[in-house]
Amino acid sequence: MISSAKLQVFLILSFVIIIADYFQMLGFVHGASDRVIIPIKQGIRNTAVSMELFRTVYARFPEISNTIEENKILRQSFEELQLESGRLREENIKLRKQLESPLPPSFHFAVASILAVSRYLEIGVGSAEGVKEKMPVVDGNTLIGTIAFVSRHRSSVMLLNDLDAKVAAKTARGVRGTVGGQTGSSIVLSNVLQKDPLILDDQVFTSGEDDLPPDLLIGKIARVSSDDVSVYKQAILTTPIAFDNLHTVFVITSL
Amino acid sequence: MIWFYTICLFIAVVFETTIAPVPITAGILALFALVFAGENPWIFFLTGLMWDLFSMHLLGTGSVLFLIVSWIAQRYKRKFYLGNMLYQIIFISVVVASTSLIYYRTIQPAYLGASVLVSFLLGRLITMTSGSRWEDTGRLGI
Repeated sequence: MISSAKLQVFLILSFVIIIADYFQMLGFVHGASDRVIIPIKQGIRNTAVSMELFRTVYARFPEISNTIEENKILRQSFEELQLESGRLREENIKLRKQLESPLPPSFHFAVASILAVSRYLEIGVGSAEGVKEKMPVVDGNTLIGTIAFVSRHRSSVMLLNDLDAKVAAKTARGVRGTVGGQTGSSIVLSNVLQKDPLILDDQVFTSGEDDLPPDLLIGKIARVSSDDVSVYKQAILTTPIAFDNLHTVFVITSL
Repeated sequence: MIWFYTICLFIAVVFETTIAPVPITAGILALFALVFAGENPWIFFLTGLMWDLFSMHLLGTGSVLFLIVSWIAQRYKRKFYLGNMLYQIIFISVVVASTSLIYYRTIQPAYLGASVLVSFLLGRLITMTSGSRWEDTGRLGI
């Protein structure tokens, strides 16, 4: 009976609390309890989420492990394909450019990928592909250099800025000279008579007087230097080719 | 032993209001109502308040519900103590189902089953470890 009386007291107390809370008289209780409840709930929730994550990882560990391995392989494959795709795309652009270049249709080309750039440009075609020394190497209709050394499947290209390079050239105005390298990796048009005009931005082409085909673009005049006591004057040329970004070049194997 | 009950109830309240809407507090309270047979009504009162605070119900409603459960357990204690164990299971199930229906507006069989099972197993555990107040018919005056 005592417990029943207690029960009634607690029931009445509960109803009083309900009424008080209904009329929002117990805001301080909620405020105080929130300060305790929120950290507890946050902690429990974070733990539960971590446990759930752990459970998921544990339950699916073989699958996840396989997926990670597969992902690694696919990523590697993707990167390889991306590289291959980039290389092919560039090669395609080059081929299109080469096809559209105003070179005689009688020219035959050997497509060569660049293996290294040092003093010489090393390319991946050699005597097996019909490459011989002195053959011109072009990108589009722009002359890059000439073959210096040939092995069975590799060749070295002497660039125009090499000190040993020597190519017979002419400007767009018909002024003749010799293109070669100069200390400091610049390309120089030299052996130009003082009376001949050298105008800035004039294009310079091969003249065809040596073994090279005529009218291959070499570059354009960037700076002219002359003095009155010399017989010849010279000009520094700039080439449109950026060797660092080159991946494919073409060797003209037959004219 | 009272601390063990309190900790169990606290864990149940936190679990129910934080992790999953399983009416496990009501199940455990129904079990304690059977164990205490109307004694210690303050446990039901305070658990109800705690439950209301954690679940943001109107303060006091949980207390009323749980005190009513306690009163029913006291009212039919003879039947629960001396009758078939099925009565106890049915009592716990009814309390859990009612709470679920009132507060969650749904009865999910899986949650219901889990709550009843946990409560019943906890009751068995208490019976085995604490000299079994549950089956202490001396308190019934018979």
